[in-house]
Amino acid sequence: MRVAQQDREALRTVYAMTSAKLHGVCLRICIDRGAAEDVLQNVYLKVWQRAGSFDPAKASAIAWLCAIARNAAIDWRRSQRYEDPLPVDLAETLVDETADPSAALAQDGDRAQIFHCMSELEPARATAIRAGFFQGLSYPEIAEAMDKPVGTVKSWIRRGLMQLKECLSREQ
Amino acid sequence: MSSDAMPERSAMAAELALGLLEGAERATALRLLLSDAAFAAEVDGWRARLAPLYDGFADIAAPAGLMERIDGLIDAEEANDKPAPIAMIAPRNAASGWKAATFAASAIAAVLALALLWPSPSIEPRPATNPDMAVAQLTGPIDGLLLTARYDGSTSEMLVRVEGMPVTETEPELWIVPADGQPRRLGRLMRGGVTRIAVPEGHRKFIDPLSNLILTMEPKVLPDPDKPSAPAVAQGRLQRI
Repeated sequence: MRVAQQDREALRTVYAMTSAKLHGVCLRICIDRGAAEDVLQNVYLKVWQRAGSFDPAKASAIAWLCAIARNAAIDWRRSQRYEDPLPVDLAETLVDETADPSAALAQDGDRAQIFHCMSELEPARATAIRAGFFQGLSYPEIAEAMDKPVGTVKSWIRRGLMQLKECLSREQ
Repeated sequence: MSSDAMPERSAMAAELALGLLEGAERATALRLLLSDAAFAAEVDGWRARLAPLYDGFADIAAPAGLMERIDGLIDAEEANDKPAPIAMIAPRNAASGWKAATFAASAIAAVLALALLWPSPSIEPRPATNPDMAVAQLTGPIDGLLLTARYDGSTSEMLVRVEGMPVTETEPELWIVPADGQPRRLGRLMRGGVTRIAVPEGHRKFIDPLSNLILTMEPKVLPDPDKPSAPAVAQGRLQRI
């Protein structure tokens, strides 16, 4: 019984420390408040049920949780597409993510690095990658939002990612 | 071919990590992820590379009452999972199997909580199992009192963070209680912040998942350095990470 209580406490600690960030992830991708709440709830239930395994050698706890939330939100988003297509708002993606280097970013060179490397990409490449990462958009959705053929967007993203990889390894 | 073109398989690894793939392409990538270690390593590499971007998501307070709803759902699930004590004649090992499953199910929450409370400055790749790292979270009846401990076998040091310690005349003392049930003294803790304890050589063998850490509140001069004089006010099991 004690162990069970302690583990519940631990889950509450995890929730207290991460729910605002994960809610931000879910809401940005789902857009719909109710759906974001459901996805968020399921993320913590998954943590409790130990769906997936956390390996501290591979990811920080917060990155691991963000990835679960992001994947679940993307799954929900894609499941909705044919019934009720969600709005795609590229204007939101065009907001410069680098404009807000938080204290955490400033302290951690590795983290700031990727924002720096993103800023070095051609704007169209960076926009397409951001749309995929932050809004969970698929290739056809990004293509539609940017009013370009899917092939063009694919090429932008692949080249952008390649550059990103080079930039990150160069500056390490 | 232009110099910035990506080999097809590397592109697929990046696209899977970014979440761009759908349908048949995604199914192919997921199959590769399970069957091809090199591909899985590439996907992991991309996940790690992109992870700092999570900082770009804004924090938005979660809806009020959501944690209570989650608690309720877990309660309901556990009530359903418990074997009915009277109607069902379950063999002994079935019952213990259920307990073991519950234990494993929830342990990840504790490991995550600790990882969050002890964030590493950077995630260095290291062997998947490091037998010399262990963590524990200590709680008890004192509201708000939370201790987190991390033992690093390479330095034989235990770092203990104390939060929410009330004002008392007594001093916090940390002990390790291995499987034999006999507490061994680890040392006095500061009332807040992080205390660094060099674990005595004779006690290092007790750093294992069978051991508990306990906190007692002791007089300024310990009556007996070999055993606690007061009951434990917080305790927690050690876990390997």
